[in-house]
Amino acid sequence: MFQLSKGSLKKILDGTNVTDPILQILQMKNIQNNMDGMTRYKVSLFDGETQHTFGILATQQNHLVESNQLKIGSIIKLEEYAANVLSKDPPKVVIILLNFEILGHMDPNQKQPTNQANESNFNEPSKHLQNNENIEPNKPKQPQQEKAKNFFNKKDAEVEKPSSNNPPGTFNGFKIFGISSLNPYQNKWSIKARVTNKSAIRTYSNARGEGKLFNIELIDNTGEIRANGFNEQCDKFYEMLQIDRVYHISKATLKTANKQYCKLDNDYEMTFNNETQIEPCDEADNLPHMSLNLVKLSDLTNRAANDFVDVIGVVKSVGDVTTIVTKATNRELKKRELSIVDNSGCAVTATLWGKQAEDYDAADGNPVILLKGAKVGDYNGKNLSVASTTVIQINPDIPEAHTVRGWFDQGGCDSEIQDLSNQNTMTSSNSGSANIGGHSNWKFLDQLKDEKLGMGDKADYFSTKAYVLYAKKDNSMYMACPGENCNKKVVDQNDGTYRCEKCSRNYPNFKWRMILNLNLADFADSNWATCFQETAETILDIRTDELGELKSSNSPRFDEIFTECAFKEFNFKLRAKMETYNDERRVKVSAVTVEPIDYVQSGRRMLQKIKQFAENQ
Amino acid sequence: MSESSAYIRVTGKMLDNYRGQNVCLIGKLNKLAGDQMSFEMTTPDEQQILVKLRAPTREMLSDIVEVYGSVDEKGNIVCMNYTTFEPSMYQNLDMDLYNETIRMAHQLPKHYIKA
Repeated sequence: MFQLSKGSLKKILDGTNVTDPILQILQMKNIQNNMDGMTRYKVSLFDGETQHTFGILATQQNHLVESNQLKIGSIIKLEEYAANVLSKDPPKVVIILLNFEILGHMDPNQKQPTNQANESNFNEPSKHLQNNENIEPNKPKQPQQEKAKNFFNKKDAEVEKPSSNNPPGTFNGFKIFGISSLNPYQNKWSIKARVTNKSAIRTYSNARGEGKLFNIELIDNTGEIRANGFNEQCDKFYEMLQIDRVYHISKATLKTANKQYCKLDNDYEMTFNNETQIEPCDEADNLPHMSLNLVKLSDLTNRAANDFVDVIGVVKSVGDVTTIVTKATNRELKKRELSIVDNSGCAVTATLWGKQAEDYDAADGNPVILLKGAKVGDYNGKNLSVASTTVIQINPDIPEAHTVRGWFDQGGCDSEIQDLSNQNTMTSSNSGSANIGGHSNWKFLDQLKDEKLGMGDKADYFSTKAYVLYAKKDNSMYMACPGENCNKKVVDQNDGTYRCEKCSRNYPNFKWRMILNLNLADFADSNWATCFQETAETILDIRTDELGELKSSNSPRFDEIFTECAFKEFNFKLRAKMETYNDERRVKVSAVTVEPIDYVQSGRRMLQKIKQFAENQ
Repeated sequence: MSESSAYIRVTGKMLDNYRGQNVCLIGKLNKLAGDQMSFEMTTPDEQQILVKLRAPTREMLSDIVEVYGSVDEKGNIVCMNYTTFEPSMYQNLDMDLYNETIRMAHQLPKHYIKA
């Protein structure tokens, strides 16, 4: 037989702190919450005297029900709970069972004999007030408990006292909870947590007007949570909350986290309201610092675009602040690029935006920089973008910072560094890099159609390695104006002169120009592309005037030139653009540059692509 | 080609794992023995290996040689055949790229036929 803590429920409902009451579960019901889709268990609690029908099992204890350890009839020692007043009239109090020990089981029908009159109906709280006097506490009160009792009475004047007067384990009259136990169903809590991230103040405007907000990330030994502050709370708390400092917080609103904006592992997030109390706390205890998941720069090649990573490195070089105009909003935006290196022998470009770009102290030499939650980009190799949620720390005092500092100072700065943000310099150190400089956006020919290149308003440029299948001989050459900077087609006047309409004059001569239509193919697809003058000369391996002479003299060599280029392979930089001919719209592809292939470079590119594929599988 | 007759393309460092098997690898010729019965070469991953010939070679070996043979107990190659190249064939050969490629092919055995 277990000794239930008679009268303890009443005290709990009255806001008195009761230590480890022994209670029995009389009823249990599974309730589904439509808002967050979580299962909760509603229980009826019995203390040997009264019954309270509105207890809720904290979800982290659900497994006890699911494994049948906690069932109807179970006797528990309630070690941690929260009693929340949901409404005063009618009085409705929910007791949340946060932590308890299961002592055993008793048939709920064999309740200990009780005075029926004492069985409470919680719609009539006056009843237990009357009975209160008669109830003897069945556990000796501890002094702490007395203090806590006072503090649980919100109207008590003591609440307003500074936090130094808070009894241990409480703040603002509320017991300090772990972040992971916070939920929207209980509001009598306080936490002690470290700020690990703080955003800049942002402004928004919606149907209800304009406003501003900021957010922070908090950590304690149990978990992390994001907190948002709007308008007045923004003014009130923004300056006070500093990254890496510890604060007591109570009375904020909890709601289901919007996972779109928040990547912390918590189902809820916090919003400061006008009752919220925040105070700095000097005792840091052993609260964890920022939880870092540091990634070596060399591993960035394995990260997909838009991943968030934590990196630490030394700022090797700092770019100037430049202004760009964003495409989407047409807004001017300041940016600054930092080149960061680490002891994996890699360098990456990290971009700071807006105020952070302007505020960065370029005179600081080569500091260690920590970026928590930087966004990976893969335009022209890998790069990092400092997002609004990214934490930047210069010369942080963590072991990794000292490691990378040591590496840099002991020759790392002079060692050979692979720049991930610039694939061109990365792929080749000895050959052809200048030659190939313009290539960045490599595609196979099937991607031309698959990605609808050239279908947009603007021309698309891409590079491809392709074979010439066929070069069209017909109409490949035309007679052009010999005038400087004029390549207009001239009309043969058949009197030994050639007329250029653009220059409005007749010339005694002309020059040959080439428009060469090629059928290009790689393993994936084939496509027509047009080459002009220089690019055509590269393909046919002959100067235009020489080819013109062969044409004029009806040399059989002329035909051979066109067949000889078949199955030669080149690197092309192509331009795809929608054009309209006779009301017919089609994508026209032309060659911007044509170069012989550097097979080493091409091989390295392919190797890197395959490695990426393999890693993504 | 049956498993036993296939020459698996390997790097110098992989030789230990291929004792008794047929392999194929390229290397830079270092030294031909006085009796013309063996030569030493450096593989793209900077390993010095000894290639034993079945008969004295009578031709000039090129700077880069491709060797087919089996790996003996000591990690030497018992050469079945070798190929020499014109300098124009290997003047742009990137040893490092070659080495990386072989390594990758071994890391992705599902996708590459090892012969």
